[in-house]
Amino acid sequence: MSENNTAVEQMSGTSKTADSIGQKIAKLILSIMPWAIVGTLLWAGIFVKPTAVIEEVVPPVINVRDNVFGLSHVDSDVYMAAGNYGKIIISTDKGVTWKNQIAPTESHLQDITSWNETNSVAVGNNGVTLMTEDGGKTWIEVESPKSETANKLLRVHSYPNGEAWAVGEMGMILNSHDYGKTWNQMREEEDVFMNDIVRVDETTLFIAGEFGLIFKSTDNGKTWKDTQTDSPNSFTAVAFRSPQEGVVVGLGGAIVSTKDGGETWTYIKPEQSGMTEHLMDVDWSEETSQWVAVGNKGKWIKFSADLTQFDSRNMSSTDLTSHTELAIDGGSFLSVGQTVGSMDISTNTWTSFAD
Amino acid sequence: MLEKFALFCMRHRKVVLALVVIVTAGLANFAYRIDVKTVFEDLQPGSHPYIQVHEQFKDTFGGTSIITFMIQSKEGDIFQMPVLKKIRDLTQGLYSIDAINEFQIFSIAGKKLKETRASTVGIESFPYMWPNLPETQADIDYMKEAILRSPLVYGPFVSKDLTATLITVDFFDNLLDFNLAYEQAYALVEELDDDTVDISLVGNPILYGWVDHYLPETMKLIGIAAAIFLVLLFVINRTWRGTILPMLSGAISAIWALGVAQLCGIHFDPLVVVVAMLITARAVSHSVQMMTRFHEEIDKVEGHEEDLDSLSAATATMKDLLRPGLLGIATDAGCVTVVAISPIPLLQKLVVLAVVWVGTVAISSIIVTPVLLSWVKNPKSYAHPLNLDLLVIRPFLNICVNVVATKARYVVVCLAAILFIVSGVLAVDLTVGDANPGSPILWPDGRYNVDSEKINTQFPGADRMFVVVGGVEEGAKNEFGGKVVGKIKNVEILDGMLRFQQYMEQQDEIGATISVADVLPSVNQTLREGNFRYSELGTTTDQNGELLFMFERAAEPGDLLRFTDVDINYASVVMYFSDRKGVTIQTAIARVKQFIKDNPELQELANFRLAGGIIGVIASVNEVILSGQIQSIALALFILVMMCIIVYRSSIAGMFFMVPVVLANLVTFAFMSWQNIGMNINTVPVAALGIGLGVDYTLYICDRIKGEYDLGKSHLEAIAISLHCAGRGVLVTALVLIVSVGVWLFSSLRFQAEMGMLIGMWLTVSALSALFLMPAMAYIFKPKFIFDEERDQASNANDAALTDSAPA
Repeated sequence: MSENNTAVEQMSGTSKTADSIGQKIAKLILSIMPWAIVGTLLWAGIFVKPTAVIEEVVPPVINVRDNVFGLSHVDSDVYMAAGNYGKIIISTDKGVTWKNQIAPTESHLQDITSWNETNSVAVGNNGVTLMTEDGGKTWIEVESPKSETANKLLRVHSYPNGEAWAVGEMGMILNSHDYGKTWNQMREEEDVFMNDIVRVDETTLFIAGEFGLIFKSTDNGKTWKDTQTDSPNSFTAVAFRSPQEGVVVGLGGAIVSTKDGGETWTYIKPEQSGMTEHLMDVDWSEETSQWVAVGNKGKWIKFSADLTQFDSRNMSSTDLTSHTELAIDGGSFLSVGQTVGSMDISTNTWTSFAD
Repeated sequence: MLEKFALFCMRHRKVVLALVVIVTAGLANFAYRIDVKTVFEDLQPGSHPYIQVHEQFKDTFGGTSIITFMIQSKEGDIFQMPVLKKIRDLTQGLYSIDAINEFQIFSIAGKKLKETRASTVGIESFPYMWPNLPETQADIDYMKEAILRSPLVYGPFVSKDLTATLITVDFFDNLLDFNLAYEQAYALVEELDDDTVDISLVGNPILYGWVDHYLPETMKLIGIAAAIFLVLLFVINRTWRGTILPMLSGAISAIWALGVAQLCGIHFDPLVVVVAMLITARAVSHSVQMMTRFHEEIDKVEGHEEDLDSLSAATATMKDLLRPGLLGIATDAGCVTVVAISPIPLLQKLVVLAVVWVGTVAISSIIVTPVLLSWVKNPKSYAHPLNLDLLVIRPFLNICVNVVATKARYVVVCLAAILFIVSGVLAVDLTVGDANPGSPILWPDGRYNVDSEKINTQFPGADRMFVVVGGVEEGAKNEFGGKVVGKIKNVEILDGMLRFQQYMEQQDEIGATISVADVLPSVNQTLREGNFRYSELGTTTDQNGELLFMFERAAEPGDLLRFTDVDINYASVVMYFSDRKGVTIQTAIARVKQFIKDNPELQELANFRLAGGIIGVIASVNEVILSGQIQSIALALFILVMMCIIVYRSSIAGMFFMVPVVLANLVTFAFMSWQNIGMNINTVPVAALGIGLGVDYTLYICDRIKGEYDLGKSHLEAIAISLHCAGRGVLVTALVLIVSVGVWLFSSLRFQAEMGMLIGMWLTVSALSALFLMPAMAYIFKPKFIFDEERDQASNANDAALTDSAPA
């Protein structure tokens, strides 16, 4: 509307003196100006459409709907995690804050493992295998053997000198010796789920399988022998604190343990442990000398090495979310799943991150 | 011609009056029966694509009439017998409310929300506590676990801290009576609210129920405003005619307008009562102008028979004020007509009402007032001795004259220019849509808004928007001639829906989203022994079909209907909003569009369509208002300018009269943006009317200046006379109106209080610019349409003398 002011100001010029050329120009402008404004009004009335004010939305690194399935303790304070829709995230402060990395896949990633700060691999649905050689700046999808039936890879673990083992649906066992660049299938296809794998010494590996099955290899995975334990439920995770002493956990709170390097397995009934919910991961906490396991509906359990004392708990009274993996960090552990958080094993205090 | 018309009216004054009386009596009969109510459909721009989607799917995916109860346990969580009993009682009590859609009751005590579990026969589903309450603590614990497991219940219907639960119910729109629903719902709440639970209640029927609840108060405020008005007029004008005639004009035009509206089948929305007030105020204002001028004419004519005095004075008054009066009315009507461009029925109906109303002012004030004045017996007698004219009004008007006569006129113009710029800058921030959470119609501490806030802190949000996905043409046949199976089961569509939901939930104000795609991962997980790593869609379309089939088999017929239509051709993604702020909704809509743009293949397959539910409807209204905001203001100004150009045959006149209008608009907009009052469906007509009304005062003043100048007075004399006559009318009406509009500040409806404040503001700025700015500008610039050039030279000498003497 400032034109209006100028128009009126010019008006003042005309009424005072007369005749100069400048005056004539002013008169001309004055006679055009009103019509220009009228025209502008009409034009604005017909054509101008204002645009809506929009707030910028900065997506959180971990969304409410994000499921983080896999977790890897890279080095001191550094953790990496993988989840749905090709999500790969990294934390350099023990999981308190995270940063996104860009993965070349939309498949759900189930697990991630790292040898060091530069080399990592991630595996997941549709048999996808990813690797990075630069700490996650670039992730590359690599070829890996696939089944024609189903191809979900569930867990991956890394061992020195670039060795990695991944397991999944249809009895899939994959092995890499070059930091995840190439993968070999280590067992014939079979309709059995391989849910977790662990190397316990130079030759021996164990696999947690479906319906109470445990597979063992003593020749670096060339041949496999299965054992049916007393557990009717499927196993989800396996961990050893020494070549002799190991624990396998599974659905419905199943826990089996061995003290003789997997020759015999003892089944702990849910009534004994007080845990009836699914357990998804287990590990040994050296600092507290206890096994700890996490699982569905915010449940977690800690138990003694001799499997006599069990302490089954909720993460918190309100956090009833499911967790799939944990990583021990001294006297506490980081846990991922529907939510990410840290549990102090001795005080049972749960701190939720990235909500 | 104007003179002929005035003489004609006066000659046949008895016939004119009789006609007016007859018509008024006839229309009063209709006006009395006008419907006072809010019709929600009238608020929807029917041609807008969102509304078309909303209308097509509202019965399936949830309409705008949903009401939401929140039962919050006062101590501990809801999983204790007394609280569960309350939940059950409230759910069953819903059936006592008229017009509810019993298939759209969602409660953990209803049969629509269920737990799904795997068993030897596949998937089964059970209501949590329908028809019977759990009997033992173990049963309650089991139910609690089951609820915690279900993401469709835990979060959306049971709060994360387990202390509250939601019960929602939808209505059949065509049967719904807001008042009845409001009364019955609150009766139910009162019956159950005690020391175990706290019950909150929100929803559109309740909101509009509140507006109706305050209708008696609104009437009372109108009464008080009218009373203040009368008293002030009586005190200032000192005559009964000066008090009653303006009121009478206001009443006549109100009766005519309401009567015509009733005849046209238009109802009266309580929310537009402010607009009605504004127009009545103008009727009164014109009438007061007539009155003031009449007294001036009476003072001029001396020594004749009194009755004749009145007649000739009334004729002169009418003759002289016809032009500014009619022009003022024409601009009012013209400017408000622009609002009809908006596709919102409420606004279109309002325009009809407003145009008729404004039009009747031409008769009630401009004709009836002078006609009645012509019968005045003792025009020079007064009803009381307190002469405010001498004490206040004349001194004030003298100040106005002095401002014009001295250098102070430049100060006034500079101040106006500064005000222009400052308010122009502030006005840019004016928001479209609601600027605050909660309903802008009610005060933040009103029960409704308090309840709304309670619910929005416990839950993802009570207000919903749905986006429709999919769409197979109706009646499409497959290659074997069978019915085409819905393609929603397509894994890419389902996956796209989940990605869409995740994308939308990144916005803080969207607390949650729900779709059929959410059901499947949990069914899948259940089938995979509850392994959380399988909380995902099936990998193929067949698998998803299977999962959906399992869910349906376990559910009751119709259970899937909150998510898809019967043939699974269409699915909804429902988003829960924690507030209705304009910027929240605009951001959400922009993000939906962005997602569609970023996923063109998905859009081709899934056809995401905006938008239904209450938020979808508000979004469409906001879009319409936003796109029409500049349009309506520019076109209203255009009409104003053109009318002034035509009447005064000068293009400069158009520019000149734009000044007070634009100033009043900018100041009001700046005030709105400063006070966080959003531009919404309720404020738009007020803004458009403001443009037309803002010019009235200036028209009277300038027309009088012109008239006196043409009679041979000098520039300053003409201005001084005009300010003391027309200016008196402006001052008196502005004063009286501003005080009576102030009554609205005490309204229980926040919207009315804010509008009252805005109108007060408008009147103040218009009156001040008419009294100070416009005379100053007229004197500085001397536009030719006021000061005819031919006798410019003659008056200059007189002016010089006046200018020198004025400061003293």
